[in-house]
Amino acid sequence: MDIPKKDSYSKKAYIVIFVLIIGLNVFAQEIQPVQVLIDSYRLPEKLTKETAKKAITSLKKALILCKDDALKSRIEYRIGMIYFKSDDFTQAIDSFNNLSQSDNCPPLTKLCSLNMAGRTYLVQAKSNKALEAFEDIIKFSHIFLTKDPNHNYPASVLKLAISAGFTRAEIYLSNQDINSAIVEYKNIISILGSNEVYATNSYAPLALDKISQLYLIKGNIIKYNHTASDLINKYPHYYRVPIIRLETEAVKILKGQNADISFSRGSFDAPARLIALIKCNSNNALQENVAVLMADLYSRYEHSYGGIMLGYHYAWLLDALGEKNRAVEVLNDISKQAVSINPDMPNIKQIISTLTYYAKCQQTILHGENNRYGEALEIIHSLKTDPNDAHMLTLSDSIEKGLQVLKREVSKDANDH
Amino acid sequence: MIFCLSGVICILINATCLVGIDSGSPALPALETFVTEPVVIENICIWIPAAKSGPFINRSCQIQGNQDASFYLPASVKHQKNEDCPPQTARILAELASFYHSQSLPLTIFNGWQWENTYNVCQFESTRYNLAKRGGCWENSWEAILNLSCGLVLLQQVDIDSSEIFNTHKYIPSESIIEVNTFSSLRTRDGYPKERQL
Repeated sequence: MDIPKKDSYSKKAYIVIFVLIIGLNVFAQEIQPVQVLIDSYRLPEKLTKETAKKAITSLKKALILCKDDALKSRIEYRIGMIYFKSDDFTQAIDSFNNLSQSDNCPPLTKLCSLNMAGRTYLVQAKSNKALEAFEDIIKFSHIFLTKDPNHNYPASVLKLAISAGFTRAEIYLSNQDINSAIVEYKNIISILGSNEVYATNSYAPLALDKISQLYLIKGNIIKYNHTASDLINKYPHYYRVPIIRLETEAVKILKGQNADISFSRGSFDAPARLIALIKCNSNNALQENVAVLMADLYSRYEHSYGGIMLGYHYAWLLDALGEKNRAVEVLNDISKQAVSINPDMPNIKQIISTLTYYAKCQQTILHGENNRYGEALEIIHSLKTDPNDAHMLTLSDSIEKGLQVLKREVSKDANDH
Repeated sequence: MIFCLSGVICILINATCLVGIDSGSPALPALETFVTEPVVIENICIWIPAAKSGPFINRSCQIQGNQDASFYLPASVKHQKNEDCPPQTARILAELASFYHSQSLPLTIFNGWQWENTYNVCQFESTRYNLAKRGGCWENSWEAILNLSCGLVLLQQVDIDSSEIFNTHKYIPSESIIEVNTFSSLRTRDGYPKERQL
């Protein structure tokens, strides 16, 4: 009786071992592709063709072993990314298109594939195909919509959809298709809705700013004003709000003076055109109104990028109105303020540095006209001139030479006495 | 019974492994993808002191002399692109910047991503002024509008852990920066040209 029992135990043991071996084998088959995929992320960011080829061969082998659709999609996506990084865009687009058309691809991987397809088409200068791919992202992102009215798109999905929207608008603008660009910027605002996501919270005012400019370029003043007001009210902390306030007022005044005036470059040049108008216009009421407006705006937005821009225009207005001493004070003031501002964006940094340079040049000219050669020379000596800027170099040089001559020849310099 | 148990264990192990794959399993790296931040071009249009000449003094007390005054207001385009910024992305930046300067710079011809700019397209003609006689002196001052565009486009890598969580970081230097300068509305400053009596 004992012998059959032993037989039955050993049989059971064999079965257990057999099942475990099969099970572990299946498990190992999945583990190996996962490991290959993980290893592929250890590659350097800059890929040579050879490194890329090696990694892709391993990933393709892993793909054959892989039984799971989600993992397969991740491996296929990684293959596409390695092709993209090694500049093999034809192969990359095949991988991304395969994934974006596959029914078995998980939604997030599909969204990323659509995004990369769009980016790859853009690199290949296939703008129309890129437009289609980015449109597909926006459409596909709807499947992620939640019922929460304040947070209806998950953050990652929102990031990709908004980036796709901006790229579409920029492609339209580079083709000078203003109407389609406006539609696209409006679409971005509707996607953003009431989503409060830190990484995307600067996009709505940016889109509104672009829309208002495009309306003005098209000559639609009513829509320009409406959009700009909407932007000022909803996003008072947007960095361009101080300037937008001046620009909208300048556009109104210029339009009031000349109904046929056009703004083919948007509102950026409206304050400079207004200053030119004031200089040629003897209407005292108009001059006073503009001076009050600029003084008020400048006092509200000091110590910001927008405030410095306002101050610069205000100083030139004062100069045009003959208030030279006050103009020098404002120019001096904005040069001091500029030191305390340290913007993150290199383009804003560059603009502040340019404004400060010309503010100081103008100060020296005004001092020179006022026979204060010593003070003027002190400022011009403190100027840091960009050695690559031909205009700045010649201007500083000619102003300094002129001041040296005047200081030597004219005895009226108050500082000489 | 033992057969069933071991089977269940294997299924569970496999299932655990597979479920984690698309649900942000820590075993798998985040999904990486690339986006470009919206192109930001900061356009400004400001009055600036454009040029200054003199004072030139007639030291030799000639009866009357002529003084040439010429200066350049060179339009310029400085456009840089990192090796890893796609040329087409840099091209879009250049095209969007050119849109604002099309009136001052009609020659917006592109060679790939680069703007074929003819330097000094905004040169102003030189002028001649009478130099006052008998020790007199003459000077001039001009002002103009500077149209400046500073633009930037940046390629970002986005690492997506889940539909809710992502991180962005700069992909190996992959940005393009453009600076376009043009001048317009040149005029002589009030009170100039000026004859001084030194």
